[in-house]
Amino acid sequence: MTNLKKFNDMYANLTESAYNNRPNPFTQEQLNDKQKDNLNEGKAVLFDFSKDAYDRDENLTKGGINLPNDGKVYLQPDKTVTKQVTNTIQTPRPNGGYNTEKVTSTFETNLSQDKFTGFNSYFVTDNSSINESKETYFVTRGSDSYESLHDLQTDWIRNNGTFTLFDSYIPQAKVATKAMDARVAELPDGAVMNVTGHSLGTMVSIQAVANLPAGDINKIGRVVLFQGPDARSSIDKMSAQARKNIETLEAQGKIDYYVNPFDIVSMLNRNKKGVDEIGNVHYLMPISGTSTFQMDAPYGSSHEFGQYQFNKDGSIKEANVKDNPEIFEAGIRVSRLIDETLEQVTKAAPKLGSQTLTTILGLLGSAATRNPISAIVAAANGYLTYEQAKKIYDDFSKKYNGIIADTAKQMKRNDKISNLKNQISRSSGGQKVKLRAELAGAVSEEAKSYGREYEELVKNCQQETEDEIDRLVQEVFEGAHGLAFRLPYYEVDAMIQSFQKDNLWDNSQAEDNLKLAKKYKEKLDKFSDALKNVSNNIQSYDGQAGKSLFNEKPKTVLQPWDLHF
Amino acid sequence: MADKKNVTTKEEQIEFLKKHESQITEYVKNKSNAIEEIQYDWDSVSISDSGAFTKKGFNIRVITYNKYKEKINGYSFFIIPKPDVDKPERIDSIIGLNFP
Repeated sequence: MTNLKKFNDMYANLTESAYNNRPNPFTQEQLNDKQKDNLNEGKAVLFDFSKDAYDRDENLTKGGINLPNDGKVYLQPDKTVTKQVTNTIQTPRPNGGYNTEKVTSTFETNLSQDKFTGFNSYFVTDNSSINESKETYFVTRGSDSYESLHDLQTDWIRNNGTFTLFDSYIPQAKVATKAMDARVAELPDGAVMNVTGHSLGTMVSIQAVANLPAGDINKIGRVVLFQGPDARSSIDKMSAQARKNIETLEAQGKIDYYVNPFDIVSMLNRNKKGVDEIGNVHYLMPISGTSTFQMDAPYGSSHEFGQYQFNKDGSIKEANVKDNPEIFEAGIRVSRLIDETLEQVTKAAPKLGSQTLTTILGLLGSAATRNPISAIVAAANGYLTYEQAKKIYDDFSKKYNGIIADTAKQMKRNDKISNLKNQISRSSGGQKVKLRAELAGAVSEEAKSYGREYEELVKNCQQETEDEIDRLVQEVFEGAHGLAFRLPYYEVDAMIQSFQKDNLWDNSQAEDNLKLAKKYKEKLDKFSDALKNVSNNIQSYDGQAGKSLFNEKPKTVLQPWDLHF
Repeated sequence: MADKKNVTTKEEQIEFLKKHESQITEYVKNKSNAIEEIQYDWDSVSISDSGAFTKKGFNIRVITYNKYKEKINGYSFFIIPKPDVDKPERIDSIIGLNFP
């Protein structure tokens, strides 16, 4: 576990606090007695994120700057009633199959917490009184760990697993929709409800918002989600109203996702052909390259808040295509690896039905268990042999770790280049020449990988644009047909003529772009080789001539962000 | 935060924490000069984590008192053992929640 280094982003603060054992936890069991007494008396509890907080190992989270309401939020009590739950529970048998037992239990529960599905949410406001509030926040906790059968039964199988493979409306989201609707009903005029969550909390949040009644949508402020999969496929399977709700919020620019390219949870269902990912997707600039499973890494796993960096103005630091192409390339590669792995599982065991869920979960989480291969075999309910499971696991681990190692190397090289440039500006004479030789060597390596990343990004950007045009053409076509009963056919035809794909998408231009990208990569390869040569012989170069090398860069053929279609 | 099935029994978990009681007490007292005495609620011991892909640890409720033996407040502490909760040998880290 690593936590935020600064409380600079209110949404990130709140999602972190929704978990147990973090700084400023909202969980009822982890409040202090005075806070508990307040909640039990129906009063809100103040949390101030402008103040510092310590976590384990005495790590400090610095109080946030530029926060709304100066960092103060109020955790609201939930006054809804206790209910009795009767349910059937399935537990996996060690040798395969499931035991089914009917259990009648009375849970002390309310709309914010549902013990059967594992749903936990918190409602916080910018004023102690909901009636006086302007900005309110509905915060959903992500998954708990899934090592125990209880967790497998709740968060991971019923929610994550179902979502991953079948894109279904997950159980926690159904509960969340009711809880959100109830909170929207409490809002005074002029107040909005923002929605936030991390990991599983993102899936719950977006599906719950989608299923709100139409009248609630204009009360939604922003939807800010951290490190969760894209949910477009699941939303597309929902009602017309659900799709419309999400489209409305997207059109208003209200939905944002923050993803870590190294994190398998973030990159699930992303970079798929023909799928327009929901909202504005921001790629976090992680501190280091770690896998989702590296719990002991200095800044934590890539699923952790400890990897977040912040800009001077307090905003979350994002990667940008111009300066950090390796980050986006890593994201694309991780997304593809997940898809390939799922395909591999299905191919190895075509008969896998719903049990596939546990297989995948076992696979994704296997690095955290003592016997990953056995765990996968057990989870596959006998449909995968030990050898098949081992191959899938080994392939996945090798490729996943390879992507992270490649990218981490590039991130380090970028840092090295930036440090060398700073050192050169402060040095003189022989030291300067030596540093330039080092710089030339580092830039030479960088040029090669930049060419590869560039080609990858051009392909991806181009595919995304073509997908968007396909969708636009389809929408225009359907819209025009809707008018067809009022207008003669030839008029409808004339009207949509300019929106035919041939007029919007130039295949030859697309091919040219890819050719140019390839050419650029080749050019960079040559430049890299030449520079390497310079690096090895820089001592024999005239100081001035060597210096001028660094002012000459190969001319960029085109930039991914300047593509013409 | 339900108590989950683990290799250690609740009695063993309590035994581990009792064995390290003085270390925990020292940690708690060092955080605030006002704390003179503390009382452990051993029945409250449970296991939890901090989300997916995080380590498990023990939670315990603690009540703090001032020098006049008046209650200051009650808090939950999260104690991560080494090597893990299934075979706790020593304390890796302690964190006070909503504390002090």
